Amino acid sequence: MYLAYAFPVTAPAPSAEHWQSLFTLYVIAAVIVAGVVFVLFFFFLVKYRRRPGVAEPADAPKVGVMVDRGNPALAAILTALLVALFFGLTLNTFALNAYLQQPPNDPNAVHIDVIGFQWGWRFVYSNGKDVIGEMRVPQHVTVILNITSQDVFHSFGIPDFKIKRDALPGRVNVAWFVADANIGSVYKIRCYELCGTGHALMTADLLVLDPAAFTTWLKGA
Amino acid sequence: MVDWYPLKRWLLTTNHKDIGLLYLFTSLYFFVAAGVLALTFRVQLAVPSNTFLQPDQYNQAVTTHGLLMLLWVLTPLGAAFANYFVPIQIGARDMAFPRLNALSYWLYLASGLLALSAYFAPGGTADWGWTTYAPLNTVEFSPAVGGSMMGLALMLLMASSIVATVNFLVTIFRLRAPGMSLMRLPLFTWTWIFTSLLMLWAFPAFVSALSLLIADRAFGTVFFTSAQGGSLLWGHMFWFFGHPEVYVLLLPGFGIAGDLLSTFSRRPLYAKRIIIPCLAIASILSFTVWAHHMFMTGISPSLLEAFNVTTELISIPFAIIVLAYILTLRGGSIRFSTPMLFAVGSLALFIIGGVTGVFNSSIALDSAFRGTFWVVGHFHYTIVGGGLTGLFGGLYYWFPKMTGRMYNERLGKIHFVIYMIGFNLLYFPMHILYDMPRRIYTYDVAAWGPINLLITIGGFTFGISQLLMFGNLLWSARRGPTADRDPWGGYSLEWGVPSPPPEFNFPEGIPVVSATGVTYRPVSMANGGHHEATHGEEHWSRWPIVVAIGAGIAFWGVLMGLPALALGTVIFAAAIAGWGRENLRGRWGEAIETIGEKWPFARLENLTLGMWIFIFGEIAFFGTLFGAYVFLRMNAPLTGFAWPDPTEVHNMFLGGFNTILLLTSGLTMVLALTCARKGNQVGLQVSLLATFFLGAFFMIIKALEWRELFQSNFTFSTNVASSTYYLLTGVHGAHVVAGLTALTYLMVKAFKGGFGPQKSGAVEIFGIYWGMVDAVWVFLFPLLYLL
Repeated sequence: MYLAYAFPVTAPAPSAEHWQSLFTLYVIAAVIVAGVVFVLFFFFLVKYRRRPGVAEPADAPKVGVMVDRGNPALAAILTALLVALFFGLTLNTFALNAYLQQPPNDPNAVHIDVIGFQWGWRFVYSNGKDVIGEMRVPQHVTVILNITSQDVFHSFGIPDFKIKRDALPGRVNVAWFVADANIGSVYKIRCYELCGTGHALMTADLLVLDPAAFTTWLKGA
Repeated sequence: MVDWYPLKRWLLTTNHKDIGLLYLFTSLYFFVAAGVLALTFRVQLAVPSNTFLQPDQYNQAVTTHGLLMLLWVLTPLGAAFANYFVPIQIGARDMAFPRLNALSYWLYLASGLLALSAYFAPGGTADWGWTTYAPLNTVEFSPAVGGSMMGLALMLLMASSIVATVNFLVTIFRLRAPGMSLMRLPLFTWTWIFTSLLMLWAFPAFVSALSLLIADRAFGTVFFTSAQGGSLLWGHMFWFFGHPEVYVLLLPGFGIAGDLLSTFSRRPLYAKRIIIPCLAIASILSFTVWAHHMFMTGISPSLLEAFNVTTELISIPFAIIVLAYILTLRGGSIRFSTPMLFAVGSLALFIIGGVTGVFNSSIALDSAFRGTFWVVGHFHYTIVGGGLTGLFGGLYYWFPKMTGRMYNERLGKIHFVIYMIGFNLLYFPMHILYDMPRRIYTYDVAAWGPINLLITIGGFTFGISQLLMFGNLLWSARRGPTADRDPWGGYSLEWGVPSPPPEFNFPEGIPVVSATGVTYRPVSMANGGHHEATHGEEHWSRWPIVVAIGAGIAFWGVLMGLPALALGTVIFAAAIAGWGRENLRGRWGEAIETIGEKWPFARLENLTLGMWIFIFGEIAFFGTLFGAYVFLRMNAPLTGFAWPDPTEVHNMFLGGFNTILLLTSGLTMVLALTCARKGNQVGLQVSLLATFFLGAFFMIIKALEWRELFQSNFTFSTNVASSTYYLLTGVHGAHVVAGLTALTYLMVKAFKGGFGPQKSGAVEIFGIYWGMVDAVWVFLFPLLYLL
C-alpha cells in the first residue's frame, strides 16, 4: 500500500490520522532533500572560502566576459529524481484526497447543513433542528456536511480533524468525517478566511456524543 | 539667488539613473511604512486576547501591509535596480523611451499616495485582505470609500507598471551594445526580462479584475454580488494575476543573488544556458498553477489534481537553478563581503520556502494549511527570504557604484547576522501554527501565545535590523571611503564605468563586447560628444510629472466628484498635448541603436515594437475579460440563471451595422498608412478623417444602444448578463475613445503636413492599435449579440 500509511498516529478522527501520516511523509522527504542541499551548499561555502596566498580561479569574472560552463546532464538527472519523488508524494496525496472528497455511501450517516454567516456558524440537521454555535455529532458515525455561506466568503475548518472546506455564498461544498474521539470531548470549529471584523470570533464548538444520547438530543425540542 | 537646480533635476529628470534612485528612495519609504504597519499587528498578536488594535484597524493594517509590500515595495525596488543598471548592463546610454520611464515613476508615486490617502478616507481604507476576496469586497459588506480608492490606486499602479514593462522590453531588445548578444546578458537583466514578461501578462489580467470590482463598487454592476460570478469569479481572475505576481516579486532578487554568488566566489555562473530556459519554463508554468490557491473552494476534483501536478512541476526549474547556484561556488575563492552574505542568505531562505511550497502543492495537506499561518510562513520565506534578501544584497553590491563611496563592511555584516536571526525567529515558528487562522485580530488559545510572542520578537528584531542598513548607507553616502570602479571584480558592464556613472554612462565610447572582454569605440557622432559628469538639462522634460499629476487627480476624482475628475482630465490632456509637441530626439546620440545588437527585433522600429508589446498586454487584458465571460456563461445554468437570449435583448441591426462601421474604419486606416508611406498627403488626410468619422459614428450608435437598453430596464445592475454587456462594450468603447483622441492628434499633424514617407511611424503604430480595437470587436460582437 501507499507509504504514507506506514506512519500511523492516534488522532480524534480517521481524517486527522491519515493527514498526519501524509504530513509525516512529506516532512521526511523535505528533511532529506533540504538536508542534502544544505550540506552541499555549506560544504562548498566552507571548502572554497578564500585563503590568503591562493590565486583566483583562472576563469574569474572580468568586465564584459561571459564564460559558459556547466553540464546539462545534471539538470536531466535532477529532473528525473524530482519527478520520481513527486510521483511518490502525489500518489499518496491523491489517495488521501479521494478519501476526503468522497463521503462513504452510508445509510446511517448524519447529514448537517452548515451555514456560515457574519459571524458564526449555523447547523441545520435533516429533521430541521437548527443550532447556532454548536455542532453535536455521534461518535463513530459518518457525518456529512453541506457547507455554504449566507453572506461572504468563509472557510469552515475543524483543525483537530484536519477537515476544511470553503463556505461560499450560492454554492454548497461537501465535507465529511467520523469522530472517533472520546464521548464528551469538545473541539473548535473556526473560520479560515478573512470575513470582516468578526473573523477572529467566528468559532463554534464540536461536541462528540454517545450515539444514543445524540438521537435523544436530536429529537428533543 | 535660490539654486533650483537640485529640485528641478529630480522633478524633471528622464535619466534612467536618476529615476532608478527615485524608485529606490520611494520603495524604501513604502518599505518602512508597510513594515511599521506589520509591527503594529505583531504587537496586537503578541499575547492572547490583546486589545492594542481594534478589529477594523487590524484588518486595514493587514490589508495595507500586504498590498504595499507586494506592489509598492518589492516590485519597485527591483525596478529601481533595473532602471539604474539594466541600461548600463546592456551597454545603452538610457532607456528606449526616457520620458515614458519618468512617467512610470510619477504614476507609481501618484498611485502610492492615492493608496496611502485611502487610509485617511472616512471609514478607513480597504479591509478585506490583500487578496480582496468577493463578496467581502463589494459595497454591501465593505462600504468605505477608501476601499474603492485602494482599487483605483492599484489600477494606476498597474498602468505605471505596464508602461515600464513596454519600455524595458524595447530597451533590452533594441538598445544592446555591439556584441552584447542575448546570451551574454547578465543574469539580473535576464531575470528582469522574465519579470517584465510576467508583468506584461499578469498585470493586465489584474486590471480586468479591478475593472469588474470598480464597476461593481461605483456603477452597481453585479459581478461579485451575484451567485453566477461571486467568490469563484474573483478567485480565478485574481489568482491568474496573483501567482505570476509572486514570481515578479521573487525573480529580480533571485537573479541578483545568482550574479553575486558568481562574482564573490570568483567563478562564472554555472550552467547559465540552463538557468535561462528554466526561468522561461517557470514563467510559463506560473500561469498554470493559480487554482492551488483555491483547493478548498469545491472546484472539480480532476482540476484539483491537475493543479497539484503543475504546482509540483514548477519547483523543478527552480530546483535546477538552485543546484546551478550551488555548483557555481565549486572551485571558487569565496569572499564573504556583505552582498555575498545576503546572496547566501537569499538562497538558503529560498530553499526552505521552496520545500514548504511542495507541501502546499498537495491538495490533501491543504485541508489543514489553507488559510493558516503555515501559508504566511511559506510565502514570506520565498518572497521576503528569497526576493527581498537578494535585493538587499544588490543594494550593498551596487551602493559603491551608485554613490562612489563604500559602505561600512562591519556594520553590513552585523546587519546580516541580526537580519537572519530576526527573519527566522519571525517566520519559522509560523509553520508550527498550522492550526491558527491567518488574519485573525485576536485569539484565546493559550498554546499559541508563546509562539506568537516569539514571532513578534523576531518581527521587531528583523525590523530594527534594517535601521542598521539605513544608517550605514546614509552615513557612508557622504562620509564613506571613496570606491573605485570595480571593488568586487564584477563581470557586468557597470563595473567598467566610473562610480557613479556619468550622464551617458560610457565616457570612453560605445562598449563593444567580445569573447575576451569589453573595449570602447570612441563616439564620432556630432551630438554624442558630451560626457560631463553632471546631469544636464538634455534630459529634462516637464511633461511626465504633469501627466501623472493629472492622472492622479482624475483617479481621485472618480470618487471625489466631477470637479476633481474634470480638473484631472484637463491637466492630463494638456500634458499629453505638451508631450506630443516636445521633441527629445537628438538631445543625445542614438549611436547604439544604429550599430548595436537588436536580435530578434532588428527590423522593427522602437515605437512599433513598443506598440506590439503593449498589444500583447492588451491581449491578456481582454483575454481575461473573455475568460470571465466564459466562466459566467458556464456557471449561469449551475446557479439556476437563464442567460437572456441576446437576439431578444439587443438590436441586431445596430450591432451589425456598428460591426461594419468599425471594420470599414480598419480599412480606411490601412489606406491611411499606405498613403503616409507613399507621401500622399491628401490621401492621408482624407483616410484619417474617414477613420475618425467612422469611429465617432460607432460611438454615437453605441450610446444610442445603451440609452435604448436602459429605457427597456436592461441596466448595469439588472443581472450578470447586463453587467457583462455593459462592461465589455464599455471598456471596448473606452479603447475606441482613446483611439479617437490619438487620431485627433494624427489629423492635426497630417493637416500641417507633418508626415513624410520617412515619418510614417506614428501612423503605423496607431494603425496597429486600431487594428487591435477592431479585432476585439470581432470577438465581442458574436459573444454579446449572437450567442
